[in-house]
Amino acid sequence: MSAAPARHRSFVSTATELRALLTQRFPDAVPVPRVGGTAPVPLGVAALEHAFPTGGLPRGRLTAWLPQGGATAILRAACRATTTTGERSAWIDSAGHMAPDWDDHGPLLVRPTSRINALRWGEGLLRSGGFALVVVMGAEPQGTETVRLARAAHEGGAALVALTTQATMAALRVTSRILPHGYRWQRGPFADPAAVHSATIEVRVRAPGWNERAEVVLPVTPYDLRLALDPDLVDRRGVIR
Amino acid sequence: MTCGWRWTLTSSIAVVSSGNDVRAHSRECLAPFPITVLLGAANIDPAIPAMLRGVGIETCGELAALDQEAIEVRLGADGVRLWRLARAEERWRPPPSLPRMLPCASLEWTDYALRDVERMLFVIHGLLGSVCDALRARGEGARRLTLSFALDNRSTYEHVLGAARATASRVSWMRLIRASLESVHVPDAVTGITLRADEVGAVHGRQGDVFDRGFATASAAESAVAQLLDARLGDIVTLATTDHPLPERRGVWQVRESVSVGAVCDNDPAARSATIIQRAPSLTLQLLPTPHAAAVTTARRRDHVYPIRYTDVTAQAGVPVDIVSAAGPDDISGGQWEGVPYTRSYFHCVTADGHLVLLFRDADDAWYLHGWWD
Repeated sequence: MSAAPARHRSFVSTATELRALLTQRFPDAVPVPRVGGTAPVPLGVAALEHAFPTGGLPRGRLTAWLPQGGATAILRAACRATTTTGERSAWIDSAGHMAPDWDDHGPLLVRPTSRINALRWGEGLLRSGGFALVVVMGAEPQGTETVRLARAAHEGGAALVALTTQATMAALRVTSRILPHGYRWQRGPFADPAAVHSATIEVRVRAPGWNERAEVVLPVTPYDLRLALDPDLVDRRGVIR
Repeated sequence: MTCGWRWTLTSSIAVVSSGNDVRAHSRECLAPFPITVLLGAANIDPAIPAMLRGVGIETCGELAALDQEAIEVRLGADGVRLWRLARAEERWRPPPSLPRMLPCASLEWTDYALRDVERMLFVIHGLLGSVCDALRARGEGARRLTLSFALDNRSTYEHVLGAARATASRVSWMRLIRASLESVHVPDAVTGITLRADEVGAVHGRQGDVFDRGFATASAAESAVAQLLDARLGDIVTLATTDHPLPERRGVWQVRESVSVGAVCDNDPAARSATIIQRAPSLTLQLLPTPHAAAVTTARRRDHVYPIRYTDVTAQAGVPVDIVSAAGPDDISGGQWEGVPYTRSYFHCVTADGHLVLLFRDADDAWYLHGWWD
């Protein structure tokens, strides 16, 4: 009876040794802030890097991103940065939201036929090991689906970002929102708001032992087709009612 | 007419070059040579030159001077062929190029007829092995295969299958065929199956690039994408932009049938940096697939009204959303020449919770939520 505790004491005597043993035996259980060695997937937004534990999106892990504004802009920048460094990224858009100014040279854009097929696409791309970043949008994984996706991300070594409200199995939890009073407007001749110039995005990143926030100002791409010779004027030909 | 060819007799005798009358010139060149030089050019009875020598004909020129009938009566068909050679009238032509045969395999049976798909798949599996082996030996892969079923009613039913990329993988094709046959109804019992490759493409290794970090995984990525595309789980799309004033018609998504994900990026590091600079992150408009009807409360501002609160009627939640700032109206009208006229007044509005949304009012004073910035 007394021999067993003595043997355990010989294996692990301090918390540091215990941590080292866990890191060695169960690397997936190590919180993201303590993970070292592999370079993260770049974010493409320098002002946000200090808020993330490793300076980017962790490889082989699931990041749950609660979208309340600005998530698409930041993740598209991450996809572009990934592609620019010579790796592949994929964007699985199950919601079917069309962005008329989508960057065609960035990620591989997938339009799955259903929610479950979106998750199948995600699992297949992640498990292949050929993609550094996979973003799943509009298809929230639930229950065992999350487990499968997280396992596929681990096997393929890719950073998986799911735009979801559920943070189960996520190694990193990110919330982004546009600050209501962070808009900068261009005013018209009557001092009315005429066009949005930029917006301030607040990003909060949480992980075990990590809670950071950062703010970044992003320009707002206008939606309207400029036909006037003056680039700051929209087409105001008037309508007949 | 000028011909640009020349030919050589194998016994290093003569070279006939181009000229206005190639045949006459060739005949002149051949004339002084003994008849035996012609034996190598055709499979002719070697006894014939000896018979000709017996009647005093020893050279090609002397043989060419005779009549065809005289030769045919005395020496038969071989004699005529030799006479034609001596007159440089050999009708040899370069063999026509044969059409390129694509791999094909078939099997027929007569004692019974098959209706069970699983038993057909067993046959197809064997045929596919032959076709894939043949493709692999040529360094090619099939992009399209045709399954031809010989039916019991003496008709034929054909089914075409396509793959996202050229492949000679038996496993990939078998998976495609199995998935495809589940939805195919063959009209009668099957007494034979033919499998042929209709469209093939080269399957070659990609040139390595030391700057491409994704090169090592290119094959795995392509295989995964091709497999998912073949399973019909969705599409890979690209965007084609137009100059249409309506946002929803400004971008057109186009489905890509075959995808190459091997090459990741430009090799020029400067070009990569330039791409990043040009594409700084920004909030962009996300459009709903179809605009949602909205109930809007408005207020008056000089000569127009603007929204101060809206409720997304289409969404199940239907919670009123307060608007703290609204820019607009941006009026758009047109489409008279296309037969679908439109008149819209757009407002981009900041909601109380910080979202930037796009609302518009049409000519019937109905309000819609069109999208948001994200």
